[in-house]
Amino acid sequence: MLSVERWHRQTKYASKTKKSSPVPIVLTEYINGVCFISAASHDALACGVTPRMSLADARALEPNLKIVPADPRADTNTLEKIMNWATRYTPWVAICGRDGLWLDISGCAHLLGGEEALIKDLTVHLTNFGFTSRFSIADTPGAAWAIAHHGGEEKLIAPGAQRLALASLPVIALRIGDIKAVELIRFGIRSIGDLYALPRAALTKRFGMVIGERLDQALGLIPEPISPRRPLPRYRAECSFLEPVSRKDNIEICLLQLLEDICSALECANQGVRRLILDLFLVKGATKTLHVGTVRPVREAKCIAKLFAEPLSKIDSGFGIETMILSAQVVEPLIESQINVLVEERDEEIVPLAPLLDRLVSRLNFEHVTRLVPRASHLPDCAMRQVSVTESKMHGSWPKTQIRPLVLLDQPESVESITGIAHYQPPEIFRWRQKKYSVRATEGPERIAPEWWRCDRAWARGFRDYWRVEDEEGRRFWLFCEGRRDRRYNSLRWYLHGFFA
Amino acid sequence: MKKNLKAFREKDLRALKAQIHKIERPKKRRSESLTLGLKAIDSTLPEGGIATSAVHEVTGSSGNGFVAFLAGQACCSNRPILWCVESDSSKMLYGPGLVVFGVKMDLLIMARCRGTDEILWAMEEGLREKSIGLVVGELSKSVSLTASRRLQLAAEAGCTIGLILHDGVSEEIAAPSAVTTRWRVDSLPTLKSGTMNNKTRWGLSLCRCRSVTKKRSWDVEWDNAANTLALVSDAECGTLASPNQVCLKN
Repeated sequence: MLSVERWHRQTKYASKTKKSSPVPIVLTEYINGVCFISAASHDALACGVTPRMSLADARALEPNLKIVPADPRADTNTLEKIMNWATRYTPWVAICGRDGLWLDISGCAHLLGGEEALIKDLTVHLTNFGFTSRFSIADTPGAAWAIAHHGGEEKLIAPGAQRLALASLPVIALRIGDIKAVELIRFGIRSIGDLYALPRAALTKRFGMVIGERLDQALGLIPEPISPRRPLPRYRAECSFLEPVSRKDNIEICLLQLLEDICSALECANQGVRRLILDLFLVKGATKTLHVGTVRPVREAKCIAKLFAEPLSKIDSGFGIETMILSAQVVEPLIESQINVLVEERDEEIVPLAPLLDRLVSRLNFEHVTRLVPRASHLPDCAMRQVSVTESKMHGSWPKTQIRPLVLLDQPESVESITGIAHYQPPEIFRWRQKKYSVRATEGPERIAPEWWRCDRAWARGFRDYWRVEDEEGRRFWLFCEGRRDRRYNSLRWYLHGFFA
Repeated sequence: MKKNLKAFREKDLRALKAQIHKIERPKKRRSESLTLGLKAIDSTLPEGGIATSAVHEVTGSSGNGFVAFLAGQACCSNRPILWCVESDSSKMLYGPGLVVFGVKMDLLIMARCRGTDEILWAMEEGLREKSIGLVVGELSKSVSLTASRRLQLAAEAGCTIGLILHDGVSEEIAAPSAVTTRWRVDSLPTLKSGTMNNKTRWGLSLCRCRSVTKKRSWDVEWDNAANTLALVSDAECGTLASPNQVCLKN
C-alpha cells in the first residue's frame, strides 16, 4: 500500500481524480521476464487484484487498470523520510521490511498522553500525509508485527498478554516466510496457538531453528533487539511548538534555549561538544538536518549559536517548524581551568583562534580548512599533504635542500614543444594553455625516480628529469620529461608541473 | 600680519587634518608595519613598511612570490597566517617552496573557499581576529569598492594585515578601491642567459599609496638562500646584461 500511496503523493494523482470515478491502480515489476503486480490500490484490491499476481491475470479480472512501474528506491526513500519524521515520538526508530517501521516507545508514550493518544496522533498524521497505516503496540516486536499485520480489532496488547493474543493468529504472522508457513499448514499447524503445545525438539528437527526462535521472540522469552537509525545521543534537547514557527528570530531564540539546556548539562558532566546536529521538523512532514562542528570542545551557547546562523539562513522553513531537536553527537571532556592572571598563557596557541576556525570550518567544511604537512617522500606531488585543522598537529620537517616551486599544479600538464629539441635539453619554445613561452635559461636536470614501495599510477612510466626553466619575461617554470628506455629524445614528452616565485 | 595669518592657517589646517584622521581611524593605536628589510622601499612607505591595520593589493606575474616573502616576514611575530584560495583551482600552494620564504608552516592555515564571495567572507573573518597576523586572499577578479572597504574596516578592527593577491593578473587594475597600497610585481629575467642562479628578480612597483603621489618602482632581487631582498644595483653592480635595464627606476 505504501508504494501506491507514495506514487499518489508524487503525482498528486489523488487530488485531481477525486471527483471522477476512481481508477484501480497497480504497480508492476518484472520477475524472470513476467510482469507481476507488486502493489495494488484499494480499488484494485476490491476488484480481486492482489499483489504477486501476474499482470495478465489481473487484467482478466479488471480490464480497466492503471499500470505504473514500481520504484523500490523511491519507496525506500519515502519510508526513510517517514522514519526520520517518526523520531518525534521516540528516538528509537528502525525500518522493518519494505513498508514497516518499528518504534520503541518504552518510556516515551506518557509524553504524548499515553499509548492510545500516541497511536491516534500517529495515525492522524500519517493519514494526513496520505498514507494508510496499521499499527499495534505490544511487549515484543514480534508480537506487535503479528498483530499489526494479521490481528483483529484489538491492537493494543496489554503487558504480558501476547501469548493469548497471538494464539489465534495464522503461523505466517511469525515472520517465517511463505515456504515455512505452507509447510506448517501442510502438517495441520494453522495457528500460532497450535505451536505452543508442540515439543520444541521435534519442531526444530523438522523445520529448523527459525520457527522456535521467532516464537520465543514474539512471546518475549528471548530478546529481539531493534537497531535504531542512529546511536542515541546522550545530550539532547528538544522543543515543540503549539503553532508552527517560521520567523527566523524566533527560531534563533529557541535554538539558543536548546543550546543552553545542552550546555548546562554538559557543564555538569565536565564535557564540551565537538559536533552538534539540529533536526527541524517541518509542517508538511519533511525534516531538515543541520550539522555543526567545532575544532575544540566548547559549551558556550552563544558561540555555538553563531555557527548555526549560516546553515539556518539557508533553510526554507516553508509553512513553519513544528519541532526542533538538538543533539550533541560528539562530546569530549572539557575541564574549566582557572585562569592564571599573573602568567601569560603560552602553551595553548590554538585557543584564541578556535572561534575563527569554528566559523571557517562550519561554512567551508572540515576538509577545506587545512594545514600543510610534510610527508617523507622524494616525489614532489607526495611530499606535501593537507590535513584538516581539526586534526592534531603533525610533526615533521620540510626538506630545504632542493629547490622547489612555490606553486604546484594538481596534475602535471602536457606542454607542446615547438622547436626541435636539442640533445637532452628542454624545448626552446613551448606552448602551454594556448600561450607561447620562449626559454631563455635552463637549469637541470634533477632526476626523480619513483619510489618502489609506493604504487603511484602517475609515476608508472619511470623516472622524471626535472628542469628549471626561465622564459624571456623572467617567468620560471618547472618542467619535466618522463624517462624512456629507448632514449629517442624526439619522442620525449614534456610536462609542466609548477611555477617558481 | 600676512605671515601671521599664514601661520595660523597652517596650524588650523594641521588640526583639522588630525581631526579627520581621528575620525577616519578611531581605533588605530600605533602605526606598526612589516618591513621589507630594504631601506629604499621602507623609507618611501609612510608607515616604514607594509602597514598593519590595512589591506594591500598585489598584482603581477610574480605576485605570489612577493606575498610569500611578506608572509615569511610576518611569521617573525609568531602569529598565524590565514591563506584563502579557491577550492577548484588547479594550482596549489606548495609547502617545500613556501618554507624557503621563511614561512613557519605550523602557523599557516589554508582555507579553500568556493568562489569569490566566500573568499571575501573568510578574509573578513580572519582580519577581524586579533590573534591572526596576516590574511592572504587569492582572487581572480578585482575587488569592488564596497568589498575592499569592508576588508579595510575589518583589518582596522583586528589590527591585522590583509593582502589581496591577484595571481597572474598582469594588467594594471584601475577600479576604485579602498586598499591602502597597491603593488605590482613582475618577474624579471636573471642576468646571464643559459644558466640560472638561486636569485629571483622582481620588478616591484608601488602603483598606489596614500601620501606617495608618484608611482615608484624598484628592481629587486630575492636571495633564495638568505631569504632577503636587495636592490639589483646593490646586489650585482655593473653586471647588468642589457643596457635598457635601469637599476633604480624612480
